Amino acid sequence: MPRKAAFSRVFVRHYGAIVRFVERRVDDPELARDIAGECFEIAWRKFDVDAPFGVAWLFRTARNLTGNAYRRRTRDSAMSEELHRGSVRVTADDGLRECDDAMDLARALATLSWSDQEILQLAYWDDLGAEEIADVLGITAGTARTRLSRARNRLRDALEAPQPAHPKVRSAS
Amino acid sequence: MTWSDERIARAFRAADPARTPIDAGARPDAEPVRDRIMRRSADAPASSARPRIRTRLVAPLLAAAALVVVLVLALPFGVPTAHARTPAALRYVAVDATVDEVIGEAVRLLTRGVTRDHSERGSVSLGWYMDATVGNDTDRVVITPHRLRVAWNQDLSGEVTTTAGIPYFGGATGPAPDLPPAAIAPGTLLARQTYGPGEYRARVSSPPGDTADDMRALLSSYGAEPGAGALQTIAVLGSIFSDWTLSDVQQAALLDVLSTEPGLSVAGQTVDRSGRSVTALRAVSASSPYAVYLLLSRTTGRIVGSEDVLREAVSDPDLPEGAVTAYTLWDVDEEGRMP
Repeated sequence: MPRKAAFSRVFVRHYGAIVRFVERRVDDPELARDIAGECFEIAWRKFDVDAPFGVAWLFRTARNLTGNAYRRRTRDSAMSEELHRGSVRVTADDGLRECDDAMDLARALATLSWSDQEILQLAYWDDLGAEEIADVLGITAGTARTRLSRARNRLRDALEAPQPAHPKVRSAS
Repeated sequence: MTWSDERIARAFRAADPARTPIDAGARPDAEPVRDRIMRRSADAPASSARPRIRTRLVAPLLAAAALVVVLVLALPFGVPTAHARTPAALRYVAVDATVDEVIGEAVRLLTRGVTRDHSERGSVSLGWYMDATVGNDTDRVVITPHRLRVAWNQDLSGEVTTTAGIPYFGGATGPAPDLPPAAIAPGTLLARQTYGPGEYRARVSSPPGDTADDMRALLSSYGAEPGAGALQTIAVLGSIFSDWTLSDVQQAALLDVLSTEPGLSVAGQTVDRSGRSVTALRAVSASSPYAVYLLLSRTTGRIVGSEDVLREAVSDPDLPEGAVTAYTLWDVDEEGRMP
């Protein structure tokens, strides 16, 4: 397959996921598209049709490109900012309970360590398996599984801990 | 109720801040993006793209155009207007003055240097920006301004705290006696972020100079090159003013530079949301649906605020022309009021 056609297939398949990955870690959608674009520019320059890289390589590159902003913004991410503003985004299919759960989740996540938050986000938001997470983070798959399991347990503990009273969102529809 | 794996997964989905469709790469509008990537990087060295991103990092409030659909804290008594979702727009009284005259007067006040004679790392501001809309037009929305305090040091350590300001109902210009009972209490700490040495990423870490050339260099460092236009320049001011509180002389030089940018007009005089008498300059760009109002204190000449206002109605979310989608006030005290 010609190089351009092979790269186009990679782009079509993963561009949306990479933009979404960055969007979750920076609060400027235009910047997110820029970073995703730069990620694919690097991918295109390195692209070898005979040895195509996996999706984890793209995530890892996008993660490196966001650099320190990644860590800073994730802690103060769009979700937590919305939480702080008393709102969380819900999709049209989401109901009230999901919205309240999302707020509880944001609060619980905020109590976890940075590394726990990151691995949970990679698993749930970016839909990566343990081996892909390992590739992104530069750890072994076994370590990724262990860390993910521990992070899930800590998240569940935080979710089930007594929560301070907070205003619940009310559906408008 | 316990948190099952499925419930946790659902909560993550509901809280996902990503907006781009997962199949964005397959959509027609992605084709030019892909083609540009392949074309642009054909001969470029691997490090060439980063400066472009840095520039875009301070992309103007155009990003605010991405008014996302979210569910917000809504209260059950209604004023059925779209304006109830946003603060009331300031009303400007026309003045018979040109941009040069307005800026000239501000510069005259600033060159007295009575308010601030040196720049300072960090800032205190009071702001709000549109982050939400509601599916039910009969709901009133609580506007909760945020007080943002940025403090950082030469070694790039620092702290950023966000606390809740005094809430008020959408449609009003500011706090009123009928404070929403369910609103976040003023002074509530919403976020605190600390930075160890080297972690705070100010784009300019040494105090800027006082001349127009120094201000051009400062603007450029934050993403507004000469000729970028008044709207882009004012948008960049917001980033600069987050990192730095500039001296009067520096603000005068900044206004001189701004006066040369296209897209600027005089909006008029008004009283800002902190009760200060201001003259407003209005900046527009053909590529943006927003107008930005820059508020200059009539007492000190300092830049004390900016407001983003829709120039045309939008349908999703349903907002009328003239809706305020963001504002920021500077030179406010720790309580978020005028010192």
